[in-house]
Amino acid sequence: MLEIKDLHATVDGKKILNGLTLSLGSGEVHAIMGPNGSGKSTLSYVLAGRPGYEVTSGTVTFRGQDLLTMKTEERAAAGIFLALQYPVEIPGVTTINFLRTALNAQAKARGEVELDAVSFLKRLKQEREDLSMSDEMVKRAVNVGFSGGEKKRNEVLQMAMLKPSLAILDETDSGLDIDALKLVAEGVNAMRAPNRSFLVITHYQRLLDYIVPDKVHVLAAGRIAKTGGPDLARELEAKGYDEIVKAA
Amino acid sequence: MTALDVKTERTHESAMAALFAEARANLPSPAWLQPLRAEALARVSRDGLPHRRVEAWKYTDLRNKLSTDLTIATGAGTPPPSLFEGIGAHRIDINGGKVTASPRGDELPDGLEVISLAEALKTPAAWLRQWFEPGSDALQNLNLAFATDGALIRVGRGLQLDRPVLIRSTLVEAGVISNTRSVVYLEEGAELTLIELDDGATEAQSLANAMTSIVLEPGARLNHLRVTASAGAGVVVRNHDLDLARDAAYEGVVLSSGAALARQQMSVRLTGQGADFNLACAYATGEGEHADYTLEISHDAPNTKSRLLAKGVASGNGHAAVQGRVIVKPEAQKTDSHQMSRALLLSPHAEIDQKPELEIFADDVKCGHGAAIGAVDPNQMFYLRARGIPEVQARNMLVAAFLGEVTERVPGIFRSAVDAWLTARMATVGAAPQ
Repeated sequence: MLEIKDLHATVDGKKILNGLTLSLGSGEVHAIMGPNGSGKSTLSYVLAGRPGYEVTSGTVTFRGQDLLTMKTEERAAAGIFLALQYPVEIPGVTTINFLRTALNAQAKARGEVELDAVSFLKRLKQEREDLSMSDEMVKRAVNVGFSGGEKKRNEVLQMAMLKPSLAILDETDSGLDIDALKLVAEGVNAMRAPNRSFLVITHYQRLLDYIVPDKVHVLAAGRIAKTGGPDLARELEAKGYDEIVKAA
Repeated sequence: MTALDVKTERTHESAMAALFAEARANLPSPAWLQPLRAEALARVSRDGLPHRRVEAWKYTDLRNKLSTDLTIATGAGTPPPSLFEGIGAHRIDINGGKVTASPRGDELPDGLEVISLAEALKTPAAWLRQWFEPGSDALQNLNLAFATDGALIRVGRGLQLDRPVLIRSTLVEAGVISNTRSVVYLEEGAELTLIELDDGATEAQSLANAMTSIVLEPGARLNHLRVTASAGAGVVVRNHDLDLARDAAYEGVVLSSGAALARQQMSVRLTGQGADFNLACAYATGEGEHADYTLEISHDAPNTKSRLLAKGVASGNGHAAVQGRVIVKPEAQKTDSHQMSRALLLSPHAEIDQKPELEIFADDVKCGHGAAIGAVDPNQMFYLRARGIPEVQARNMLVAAFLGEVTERVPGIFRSAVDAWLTARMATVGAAPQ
């Protein structure tokens, strides 16, 4: 699904990623953990193609395609989805309109038929009800006046509607209370499939109790410092990052 | 400065004087109007057409866009399909400065009167004189000198009209001037929705110069939508003169996109206590386009209120200017006024000038203004693109959302036509070189 090799990247001239290598297989869920400033969010932005995040060397291959030559919107149409750590408010654009436009744009880019309005609304109703989101919420401007938890749920709703092959969740658990966390995790687990992979970026082990990963990577100083199974997350929770960071 | 320069400077004026001498015999004029037209033209010759050294025209180069070889529009050419085709309204169509269609008397409800200016001027019509006085504005004087036709609309006392009145002015001729003069008079307590649409491709430096005087008697309410959808190399100037009496309310939306030069001049007087003026403007100017909103709002009476919201975008080498001057007279205590102008620049070559002005002569007032210019938010752009929406489409969505604060005020039945027009315009404006 995703092959990252010796990836180096800078932001505003500052080196953030320093030779990161990672292989994510089809249907796998990998967790990326690490202290603040280790490059977790940078990795997610580099993969999604955020302007200003410059790759200086290394390769990223997504389903056989060179990801780094693709535009942001092309990556989305190819199946990459980034759930933002800080979802953006867009006054004047309703969530319904946003989702419909995104779905149609992706369908068009892939040469597929656009979803008709009735089918779209039916799917939207189903997905938002699974996430306990009201009709009123999707009729409001995107994320405007939403609480932190509501914004995160809106990210998961978008993911459920867009059905990506690779979902990158950037600290989707931050700012969530335990009920919201369970809801979001259920949403993610419901989407786990042999042809869909997840990169779950998190600070805490808590989320990984609900979304059980196949592998856990610890990021330190812009590269993978340690890789293990779900146990590694629990170990980190108990011991902290210090030891690994020092070793890196 | 050499003699040659001076001569060049005067060319527009001498051309207008020659044109007036040639055309005056054919202009509709009862005896009282003839000297007023001559006086108006004399003032144009004396004061000159505006140039950029005149403060109110600092940002808009009219002379540069105006040909010195213009004739009077004849009404030739076929208007394009109307933006508001099929929407139920009392329709007045003007083409090339001549009313080509207006409702018959038996189609109008009791209390609503609609007559063309040309028709009215076949009679002495001395009652019109108050709207035909030469003033200090060169474009309005030019309009008075050459006015060929227009719409005269009166809504009787207490009459509340459901069906809007739609005045459409088209100009499709090249190298002409068209001057229309309209009056909209709402008697006490009357209510009207008035739509004014300018369209057509004003080709080869034509000048469409229109003047509408609006009078709102006590308690009258006007819901007003003005759209300048003209395209092409021409100049469109729209003059509005408003009088709001006690407790009269004006609620307006003015939109402009597509013309080489479109200037909206509005002069508003709040002459009665409780008068309420609320205007929202929006513009989208692309490559080679210029939009100008110049407003003066005078609070002449206590407890009057004014609101001005302007929002716009410019791309390519597009240019826009928003000038709002609020004057509070000494007797206008408890005035409540606010103006806000926000703009998005889509390219480094686009220019937007915003100039709010306050002149306050009373001491117990609440007046404020604000202005902001920025670029499209890169975080919002990334968010939309990360969901698969291509760059240009994403930007146009954000621009439409930005202008939405204005366009959402468009009266309901006209909303989808306006949205469709703006979407089409943004496809062009948004595609201009960045």
